[in-house]
Amino acid sequence: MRNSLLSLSRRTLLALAVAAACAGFAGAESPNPFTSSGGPSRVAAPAMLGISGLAPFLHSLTDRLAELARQIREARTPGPMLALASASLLYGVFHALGPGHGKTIISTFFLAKEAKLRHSLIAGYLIALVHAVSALTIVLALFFLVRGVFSTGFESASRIVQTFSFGAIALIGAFMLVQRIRGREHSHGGRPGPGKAHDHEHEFESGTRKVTGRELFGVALASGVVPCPGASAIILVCLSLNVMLAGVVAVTLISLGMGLTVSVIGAAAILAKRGVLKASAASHGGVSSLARRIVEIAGAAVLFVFGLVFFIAQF
Amino acid sequence: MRGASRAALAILVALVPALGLHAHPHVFISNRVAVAFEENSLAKISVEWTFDELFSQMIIADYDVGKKGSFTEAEAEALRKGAFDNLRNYHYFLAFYIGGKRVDLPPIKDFKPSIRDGKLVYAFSLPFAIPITAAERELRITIYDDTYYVAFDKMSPSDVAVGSADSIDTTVSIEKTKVKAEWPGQFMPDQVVLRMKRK
Repeated sequence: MRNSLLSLSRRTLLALAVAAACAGFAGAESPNPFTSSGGPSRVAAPAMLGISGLAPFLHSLTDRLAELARQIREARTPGPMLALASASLLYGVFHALGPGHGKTIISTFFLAKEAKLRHSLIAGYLIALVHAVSALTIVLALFFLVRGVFSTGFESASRIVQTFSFGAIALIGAFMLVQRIRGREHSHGGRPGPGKAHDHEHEFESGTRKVTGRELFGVALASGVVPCPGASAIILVCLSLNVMLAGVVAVTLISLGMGLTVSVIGAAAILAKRGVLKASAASHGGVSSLARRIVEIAGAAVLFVFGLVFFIAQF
Repeated sequence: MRGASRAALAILVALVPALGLHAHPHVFISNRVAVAFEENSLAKISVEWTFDELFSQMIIADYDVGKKGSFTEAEAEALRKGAFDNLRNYHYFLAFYIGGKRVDLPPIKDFKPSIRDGKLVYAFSLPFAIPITAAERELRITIYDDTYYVAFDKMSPSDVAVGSADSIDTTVSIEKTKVKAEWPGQFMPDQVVLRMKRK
């Protein structure tokens, strides 16, 4: 009893540590109150103290991006361009601590999978790539092809992309949930002997549990495709100042910064899962397949519910 | 028992990333408020928002069609429709409390967008008729976007201008909010507090 209490408190501590790391880092984008039409998203929760402390810093960084774009137009020297690149990277890193940008999807995906730390790095940079391409495509298309009021057009385009994104997230979640639950039934099926059942289960599970490149790309596409309004605004500003190269540099570095943050969140999820399994192993004298299943099914379930709820809230 | 507590914890860990739902700021606003009195009542509150440069540039590029660095009447009207009126769905980020009770938002008047030092500025006012008597009245104002798409800079008393009124004593302060948080750890902005009474 004492032993189980001890391990319980250790796991609680671990859970709290993950909570501290992840709380306030996830969520979904809300519409721009000024340029959208309609009220706030039906699924939204308020800002947390930790994030709000960053606001003054982000405000001056945002001003700086626009200011640097102007400087680049005046003097075509490498100085302002380098400054823009580093300010953009910082903006990406800190801005991505907010919602959207794929943190929920990444962390739950890695809970549901048998992932290595490098997978979170790959996922972060795939997201960066998808995001940069998506933001550039949408802004350029609105600027050159649609030619209406940009800020209004951008809100409508974002909403469409976002609906697609949540739908894709729900599908990925559903797929993984079915996979995880079926994996369990399978191992419960033919059970000739305790030792053999264990091996058998391992063999079956490792097949679907391993992270594939295609899955990583799917996750990156679903989460990175929604253009960040800040990144899009800086591209627009550069376009209207006739310094397109600066826009490409800025959005690339913002996306890389975002990817970095997402990678760290993904790595935190991978380490958290390992920690939980290790703690449960310590109290059991072996990795418990029940604990693993619970974490994985919960990860897939949260991903599915998250995608579904936000998908429905779009209508 | 062991299994149940372990399951509960594992689910908690898995759910944690989804708990922190909140919106982060994309638009930043420096906010100023002016209060005007008439006879023995508070008659008008004017609000002025100065936007961050990125949002400013986007809106200016959209609506300053003539590229003159200012808005014509027609441009201002288009801007009001395209980038202001929708705020009615967000009660214009304003909430007024008199004596601890929230009061209805008066209609928004005199909306005027302008460009100052390259930054977008919105000005508008709200008519009030709050009688001021010898007993002190407390008006608390919250200026906050609870979706947190917009972040308002922290205010100081110097951001609040109080119009002259010979017969009314007014003190201005920025105080911790009295609005209750809905979530543990929720960010709640300070309130502008006006305490007014007849001399």
